[in-house]
Amino acid sequence: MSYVLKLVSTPKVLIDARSISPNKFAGKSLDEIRKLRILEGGAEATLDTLFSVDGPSKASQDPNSIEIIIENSSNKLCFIGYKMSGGKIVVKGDVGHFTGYKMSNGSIIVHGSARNYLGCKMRGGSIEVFGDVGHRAGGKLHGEKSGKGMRGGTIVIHGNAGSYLGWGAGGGAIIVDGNAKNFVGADITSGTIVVKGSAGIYPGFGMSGGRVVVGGRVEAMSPSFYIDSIVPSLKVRGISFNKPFATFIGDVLSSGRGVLQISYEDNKNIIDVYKQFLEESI
Amino acid sequence: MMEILIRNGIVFDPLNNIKGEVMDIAIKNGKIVDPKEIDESKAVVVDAKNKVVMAGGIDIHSHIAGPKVNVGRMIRPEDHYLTNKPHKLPYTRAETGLTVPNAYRIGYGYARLGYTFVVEPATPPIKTRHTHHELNSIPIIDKAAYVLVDSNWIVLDLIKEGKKDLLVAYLAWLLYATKTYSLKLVDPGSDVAWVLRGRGIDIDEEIPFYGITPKEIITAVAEAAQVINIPHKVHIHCNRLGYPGNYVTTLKTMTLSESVKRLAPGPAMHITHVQFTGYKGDSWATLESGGEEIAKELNRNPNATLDLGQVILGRPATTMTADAPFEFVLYHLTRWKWASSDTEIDSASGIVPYRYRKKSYVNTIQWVIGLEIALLANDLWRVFITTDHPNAGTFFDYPKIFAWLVSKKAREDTMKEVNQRALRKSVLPSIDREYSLYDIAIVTRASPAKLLGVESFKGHLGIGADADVAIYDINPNEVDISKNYDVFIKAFSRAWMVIKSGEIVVKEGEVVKTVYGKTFYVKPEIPEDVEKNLMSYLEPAFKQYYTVALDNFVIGKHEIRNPFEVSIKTHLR
Amino acid sequence: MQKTFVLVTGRSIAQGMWMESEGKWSSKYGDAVAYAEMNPEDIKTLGVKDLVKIVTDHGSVVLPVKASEKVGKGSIFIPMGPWANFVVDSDTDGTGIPYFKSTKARVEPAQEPKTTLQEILKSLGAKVPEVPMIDLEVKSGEKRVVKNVTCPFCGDLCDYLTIEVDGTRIVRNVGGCSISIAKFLNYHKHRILKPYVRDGNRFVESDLENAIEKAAKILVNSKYPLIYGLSNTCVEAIDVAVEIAEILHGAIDNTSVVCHGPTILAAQEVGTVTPTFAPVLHLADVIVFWGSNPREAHQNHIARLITSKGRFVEGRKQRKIIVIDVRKTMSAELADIFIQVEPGKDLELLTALRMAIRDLEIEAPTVAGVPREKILELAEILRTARYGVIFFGMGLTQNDARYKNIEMAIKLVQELNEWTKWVLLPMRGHYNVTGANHVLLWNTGYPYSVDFARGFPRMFVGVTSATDLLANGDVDAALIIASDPAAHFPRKAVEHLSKIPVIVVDAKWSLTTSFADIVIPVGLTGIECEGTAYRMDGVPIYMRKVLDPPQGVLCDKNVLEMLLEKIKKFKGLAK
Repeated sequence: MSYVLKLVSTPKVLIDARSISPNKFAGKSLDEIRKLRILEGGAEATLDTLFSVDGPSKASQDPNSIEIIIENSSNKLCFIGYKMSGGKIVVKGDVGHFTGYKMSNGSIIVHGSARNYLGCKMRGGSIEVFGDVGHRAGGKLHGEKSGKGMRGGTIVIHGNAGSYLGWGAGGGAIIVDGNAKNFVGADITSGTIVVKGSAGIYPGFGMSGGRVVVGGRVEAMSPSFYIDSIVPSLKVRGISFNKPFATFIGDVLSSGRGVLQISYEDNKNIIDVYKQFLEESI
Repeated sequence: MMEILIRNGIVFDPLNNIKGEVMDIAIKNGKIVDPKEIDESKAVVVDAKNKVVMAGGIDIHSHIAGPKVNVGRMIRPEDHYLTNKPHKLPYTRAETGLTVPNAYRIGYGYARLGYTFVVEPATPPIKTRHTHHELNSIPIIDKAAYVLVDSNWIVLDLIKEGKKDLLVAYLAWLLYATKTYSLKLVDPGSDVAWVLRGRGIDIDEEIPFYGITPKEIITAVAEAAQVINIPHKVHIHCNRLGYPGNYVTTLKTMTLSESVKRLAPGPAMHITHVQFTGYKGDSWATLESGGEEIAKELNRNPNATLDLGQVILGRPATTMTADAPFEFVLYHLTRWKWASSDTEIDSASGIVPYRYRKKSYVNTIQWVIGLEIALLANDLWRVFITTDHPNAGTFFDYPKIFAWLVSKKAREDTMKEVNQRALRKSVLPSIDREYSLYDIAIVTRASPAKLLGVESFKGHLGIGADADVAIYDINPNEVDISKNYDVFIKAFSRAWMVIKSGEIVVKEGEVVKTVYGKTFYVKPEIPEDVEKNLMSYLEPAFKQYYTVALDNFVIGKHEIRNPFEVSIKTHLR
Repeated sequence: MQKTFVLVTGRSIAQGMWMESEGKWSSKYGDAVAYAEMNPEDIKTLGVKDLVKIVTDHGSVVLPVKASEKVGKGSIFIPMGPWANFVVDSDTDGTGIPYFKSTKARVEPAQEPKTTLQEILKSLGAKVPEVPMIDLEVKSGEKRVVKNVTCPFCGDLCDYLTIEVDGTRIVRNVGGCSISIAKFLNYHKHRILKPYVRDGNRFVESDLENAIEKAAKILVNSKYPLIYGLSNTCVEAIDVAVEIAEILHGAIDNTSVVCHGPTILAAQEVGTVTPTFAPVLHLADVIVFWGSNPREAHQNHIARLITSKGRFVEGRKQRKIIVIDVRKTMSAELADIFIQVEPGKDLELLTALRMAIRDLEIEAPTVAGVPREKILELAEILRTARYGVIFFGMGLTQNDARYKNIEMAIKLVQELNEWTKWVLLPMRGHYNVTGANHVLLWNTGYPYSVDFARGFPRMFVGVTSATDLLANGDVDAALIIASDPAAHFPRKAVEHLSKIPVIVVDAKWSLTTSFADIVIPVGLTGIECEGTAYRMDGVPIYMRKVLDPPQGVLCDKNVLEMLLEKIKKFKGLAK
């Protein structure tokens, strides 16, 4: 069953929209859904303050059968899909921060762009963004141990990602079709992060496990990675790269057993510095 | 201010020998008065039938304010993410944090437990202004602080040079300059050894550069405290804290209390969080409890008092102490975060997050020590309940400790879940003793008041006392607290009513009014010529050592929100 | 030919002095910050004459150019201020701190004239293009000498100043550095002496009651107000500001967010190992200044702690100074060892040092422009110090790697403690930014970038940080206290101030006042108002006053208390 939400007034401040989740709708009447609590900045409001809500008069008890469509959206809407465990949310526009925070199942599709902390501490389910994504997607919060970030599920970003992608992740998979910025996969203990385009500085910094793949140019590499080999091609998560990659193991300062693979051709100047260690060891 | 009449409560007031009598308590103008003085038609009448009534609780050692508490908050944002309580304006401000709560949670948290006086146990002189800022912000409770002196370069110079009179004058001056209540020694001398050499020292070892031993520091400061005549003499965190085998040092420290030159009756020194310094064995693998030996010494030696530092298993903690060398060791065991500060010429500190696990051998041994001592002690007036919050546990879990003391069943139920190999090495399972509610009132109200020297107006419900009252919704005549300790824990975790200085601040576990308590500090009287003499020594020493002007170091009375000055007639001549 | 340059912004003595004396509207200040420094070779290659145009994705400015060997090739330096920030990238990478030292720029010889302050203000949408430029009238009179006065400028919080007063003139400052002297002797310049309310594009004088009432109304009617600044006022006032933010369910932030915020983020990850000043003075034999230039930003620092004699160290002779920076700064000139690190690559050098300390093989022959052998040498010097200190500044916090730099620096120090004693200390900019952090910590559990939207405190850098909130237009009102974001925030953030109601509480006419709807005057803390500030090492000092505030002007704490009362009244919370 589908619910359609349309923004009827433009938010001027950050909106806490954690009520927009199949779990929050489940078992409620349409009137109750309209009166679900949201915050406009720090002011109390209800869903119908900002949205027109249409859909079945009573929502199923099972969140898995609920689909929420946001027809026109805003990048001020935060916490959409907060802790959701089933069902589907489709956003025909942008979203704000913390989309899919701690989600454990279900799917979120964003046709526009998302801001920071997308899929933060996610455990399962899937998030797909057609536009760009801000910073700290799939990561953890400050102060938490490494591995407390995204732990399961998949995030697919068709556009570009920001910095600190997958920070401190302990599992799951993040795929970026475009480019990413600084510190891709920093401090991860497990999980897979693939950036098809270029990345910023120091991918994999601090990683102690998991796998980071960058298909394009990397702005800078940390000296705490040891070169392992050069492979002619690689396949990861069903994505094939038919060109050579340099494989590094690291971060040695985190007792690194993580695997960092960067495109050889796009990063010759960085890799050739290490090449002597490859030849020496053979 | 309203008048309050608490009717028919079951009162436990050890300072006045009241053991569960049903009686009325009357409050007028913030004090306990004779019920006859109350105009019942105008008073608020509280029906305390079938409820336990005690004076507000007093915690003599809890890290609630100051630079290291704040650094603890800074490095532990994750302690705050899931532990929030929105404000309920206008009664309460927002609360956050579990092991490093914000100022409001500390005040409200203690109030909800029925505590009305808490002491911050360790503040370095140079940053004590910061400690007072935080104490000023903590709502409801009365407070005080102990000032750190054991690694202070001026103190060490004076001890080394044998200038006893100057030392006494300096410590007296320091107490008033920092507006603190008593003298604190933490792993005496170890901070200066840490700053100079990166390590700690044992009680008979020589301190680098100075050549004197911690034993000499303890003796000098304990004797100075006698001359200054402060009510709570000296508060000691023993050397070698955290190391297997350290119970020997604790026993040595306790016996020192017998040789201190005394000028006043009563205990000569207080040993704090003795659990952390009660370890037998020579490694973590052979760790055992030294609780029995310490209890024996406590029973033999009336000159020392101690508090437990009781561990709460299965809970997170944040260790934070002025024991910088030990925290460095703990950092290696936990391999996560470590904050440390070398503080002027006063002290050093360390903060390391920690978690006590039920199945851990070492943590189980730590857990039994405090309880063994509390249950083997003969004189409950010299035993105090603390968790060295937040080092061994948080103060929110105090009711759990009360339950372990009043109920053997509570101990047994917990013992089922702990490391059994460790348990087999302890005498705790064989101890049947159970505290009574009266005993709990002694160790949490009456004896702390005595230890701090405020027993004339705190810690009891007699006429003239401050109107700090806690009422718990539990009827000891109907509930067997030994069997139904769950009910007991529930009642003591959320007081049914708490009155602070004659104002009702908590109702059914909820804070309904924010008032601000007083900050207690001492003003030892120093004769003019003694002071002049001191200043001629101190001014150049200060200039040489400190990086602030002496003028700017002294804390003014106006900087304290509700100052409560305790004038002390010293033996200084 | 258009090569991409890296735009670096930062402090200079002149910037500090004129900011604190003549104020930001003065031509002296303009001259001190509206210029660019480039390497002589780059100037030659580009064919630049006097003026250069700097274009980034965020704006463009035309500035006179000065040649300097100190600037590396491929870099261009503009002192911090509204000209620099007009072109700085406001994106914070989700950390709250913009690209102050690494915005990518295109540089070309300029045809147009130099960009004026008025042009910048107009582009930003300033509401009031010209503010009343009045000085407080001072006259001679009773001569007094006040001892042990604390200087309210930088994080060194020198508390031994002797200030000589003649009536209401401050005539002498003994002990203060040049910026301190400028501040005290010019305390009367460009003062806000009355409350003002905006009417169209001018300010109309008002009275305090009215201004406070209007301000309270604005704040109570907003849904998500931001309180920002706080580092230039006392702890007692900041306490009140936190309560205001809490009641309003708004956000509250201080200048850490653009300064040492990354240092705090790093401490949240790994902890920190710090000293107060005395251990450094008495024990330090190896001192490292990394990305920090104290001779320009903390002028008394070196005299107080390094050249002075300590109990166990004879002074400069027995100390080794190591300066690590991207250019040979004034501080580098007195170093025993100067290590020039490639711009933006400090993280690599820190990592390599950690590897060297742990005897892990470094595979690259050069790291961050430093040869491997030199790194190993440096590691040995660090490992064999008796008591080592790293002082660090914006060079580490404001480059691309941001808090990760500090995280590595802290871990380096933690690991060095296995061998010997090491500590590190951030060189805090404002005299009470440390105090602002502490007040926020004990009130909310977090040090900066806090919001109360849900009725309890939260901190999420990149979401609740003032820079992100303003740059993305996420707040609908602002109360700016003792700070000048219009001068020090990137363009995109300042533009939002032109779209929302803004209340400014300040002693002097800052650039932010041109975005204000209400301006409320206050006295200068440390000169006219008493209060506590916390030094960069956390030592709290109660600052005395030297004079009374001008007639009718109150101190921050009083003004905020009045505002709080009014807000409570409008919200029905008053007793």
